[in-house]
Amino acid sequence: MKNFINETSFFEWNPQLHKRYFKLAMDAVEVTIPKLNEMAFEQAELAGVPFSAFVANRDADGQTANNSLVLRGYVRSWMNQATSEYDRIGLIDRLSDRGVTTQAA
Amino acid sequence: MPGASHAGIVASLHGRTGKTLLARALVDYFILSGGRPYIFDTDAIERRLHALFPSAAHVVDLTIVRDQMALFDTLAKPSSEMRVVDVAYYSFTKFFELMRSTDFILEAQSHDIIPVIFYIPDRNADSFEAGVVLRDSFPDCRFIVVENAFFKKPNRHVQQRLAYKVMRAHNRRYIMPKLADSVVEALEDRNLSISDFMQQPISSGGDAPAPDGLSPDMSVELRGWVFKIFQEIHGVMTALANKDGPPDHITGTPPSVADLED
Repeated sequence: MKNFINETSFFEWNPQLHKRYFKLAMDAVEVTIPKLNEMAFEQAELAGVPFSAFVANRDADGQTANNSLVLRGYVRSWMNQATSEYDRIGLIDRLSDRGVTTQAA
Repeated sequence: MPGASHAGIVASLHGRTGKTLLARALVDYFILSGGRPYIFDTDAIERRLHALFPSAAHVVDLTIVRDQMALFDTLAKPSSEMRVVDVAYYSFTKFFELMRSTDFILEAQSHDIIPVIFYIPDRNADSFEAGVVLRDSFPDCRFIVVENAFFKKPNRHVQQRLAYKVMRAHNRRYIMPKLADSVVEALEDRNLSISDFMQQPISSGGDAPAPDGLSPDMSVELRGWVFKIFQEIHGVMTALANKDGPPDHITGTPPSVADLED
């Protein structure tokens, strides 16, 4: 899981080290979580609701909140990118029996 | 549609197309109609619209998240006031990316705000291509092709392009009348507000100096131009507000690229 949410780097600046480091996980599937704009992340944290509720402009009680349209847009785009990554690797199948069955077959 | 307000978004792919002139005309039209429109200038460098309405216009730099919030959160805010955005050519991509990522059209419509894109193509082929892409990217948004009479017709090579034909065939059109070069320069030099100018009395003698410093000939020329441009804006606004209005030049479904290829 390469999590770029806080602008982490993964030894990309040193190809040899990068290769050696990820050689340890050769059979693993790589998932990239993109960076979320700092202000959007901060406001979603302060709202104390799931990202999906923040995007839907709901507060913790399910009432209409007053979240910024722009920040909701940033979170929505980020969620779309993250869930696309989950879909790409077939995360649900991997976590469920379907994945096991498929692999066994 | 009583209570509905418009968010006029004036955009073009390149600079020097008459964007700010159209934006100021829209603002002045709304002011003279008794409103106090929200005005946004996305050109944080030249700030030409802001210079015309210094106490009312907001300059926003779209590379800054707080400015993005000030712009789009206000544009979608429930209010009966009109909104005008002058989209600088270098902010073009960023502005429409944000419009998409925020789902602005849906949000605005839910607050009874009608977003309208006024797109000004120039004589270059890429400006027509960008116009088609823009129109097709926001099918739920009113899209008006602005013909700036100041421009000559594009060359034959451009006229043969499909994007040019699609833009020419677009039903919703707005004609921006030509204004004499000398008057344009005088307007730019003086940062003259059109609404202030129109509220000045017409000099009967013709030789008394007007408070704006324009010569009588220029004043007559400008006044005639303002009448024409306001008439056009009024026609557009009336048709936009009236869903069941007459089948005029801005109603109907715009032809697609596929229609014109057939």
